[in-house]
Amino acid sequence: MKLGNSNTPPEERLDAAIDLVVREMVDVEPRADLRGRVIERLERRDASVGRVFRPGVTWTWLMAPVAAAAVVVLAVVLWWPNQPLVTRAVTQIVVRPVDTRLPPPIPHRDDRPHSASRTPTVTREDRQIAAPVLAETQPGIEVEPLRPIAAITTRPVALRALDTQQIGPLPLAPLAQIAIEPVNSSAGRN
Amino acid sequence: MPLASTNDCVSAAETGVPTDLELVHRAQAGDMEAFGTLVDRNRRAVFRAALAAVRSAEEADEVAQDTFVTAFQKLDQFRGEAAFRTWLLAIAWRKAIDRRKGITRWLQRLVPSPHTDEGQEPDMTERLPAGDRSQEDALITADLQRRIRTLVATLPPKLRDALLLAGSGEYSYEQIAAMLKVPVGTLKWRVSEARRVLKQKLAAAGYEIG
Repeated sequence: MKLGNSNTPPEERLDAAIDLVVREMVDVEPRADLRGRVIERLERRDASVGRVFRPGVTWTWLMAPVAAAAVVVLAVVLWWPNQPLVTRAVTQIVVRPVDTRLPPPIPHRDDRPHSASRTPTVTREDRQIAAPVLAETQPGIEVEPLRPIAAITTRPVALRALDTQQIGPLPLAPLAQIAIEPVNSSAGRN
Repeated sequence: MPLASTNDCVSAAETGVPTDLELVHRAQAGDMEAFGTLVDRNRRAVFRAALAAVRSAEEADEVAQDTFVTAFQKLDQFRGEAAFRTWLLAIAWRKAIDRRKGITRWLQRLVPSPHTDEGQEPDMTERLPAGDRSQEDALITADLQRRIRTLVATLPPKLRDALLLAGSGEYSYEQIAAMLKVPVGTLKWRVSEARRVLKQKLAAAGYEIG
């Protein structure tokens, strides 16, 4: 498409068209009441917040005591001597009987503190005590006593002595004589 | 091209009109009338900068309003090292870009505009009677302008911002560079590149450049 028939070259007309369009795209006047709306917003904000946030007042100084107090509290929390950690049993086995009837309570030993742990902790000793009690109260369940495990013996690992003389490349087989037959030029044709 | 700094350079004693800097000092002391004068002086520059970024008069108006409110709240941070208008425009541009990146704008972009579909634009010249060259020229020009408008909208944001701000005739290159936070040389390259891309696309659309 030709850009008209005027005397100006097409590229200049194109530049002029771009200038015109760009100018038109932003050539919009703002609303006349912008000043009034801005002042109204500022006064409304002033009324709600008070005069603290006016630019002439350095309101940040008012926040300084609060910030200082926050720093002191934070420092005290961070530097307070730590309480010793309470160690608890890592492995906790919770016994859940299959039968709805609960077995009688395990006799409590006096040497264990009452408040050591909230969930019941079953140790090996407890299990030894609980097994005959369970067998007495529930005849259907037979608990076999633990059997000693036979000693596990392993054979010592021994490396065979290596004969380094045997390691090496095998001797190459002698090549058969290569015979080259003359090429018959007439055989491949047809 | 009007320059913002002229208001700061000429003293009130010479012209009888207070400079931007004097108005700023008065506004810092709580003089709302002085700040209102600053709003009046700079509202067009702020509004058009916002318009170049968001391309909607309603949104640009909101950005301009937010800009002046923020500027008033931060007046105590203005040290007078740069011209007040330059400082103000930097705030306006930041707010406009924030709005452009906002979720509302993103949602609006999901709905395609029928005007951006170049294939649907009618060729006005086909309706003309033969020999009517002046009317044909006018229609070609109108069609060209419409097409340029569409192509400007599809430019990469960096190129489009530079082209629109420079093409508005409202700001100096230094002011635009301060707004966009780029060197003046980079800004000039972007404007030139935007023009080159536009011409290339117009040539691809069938407009003979020469």
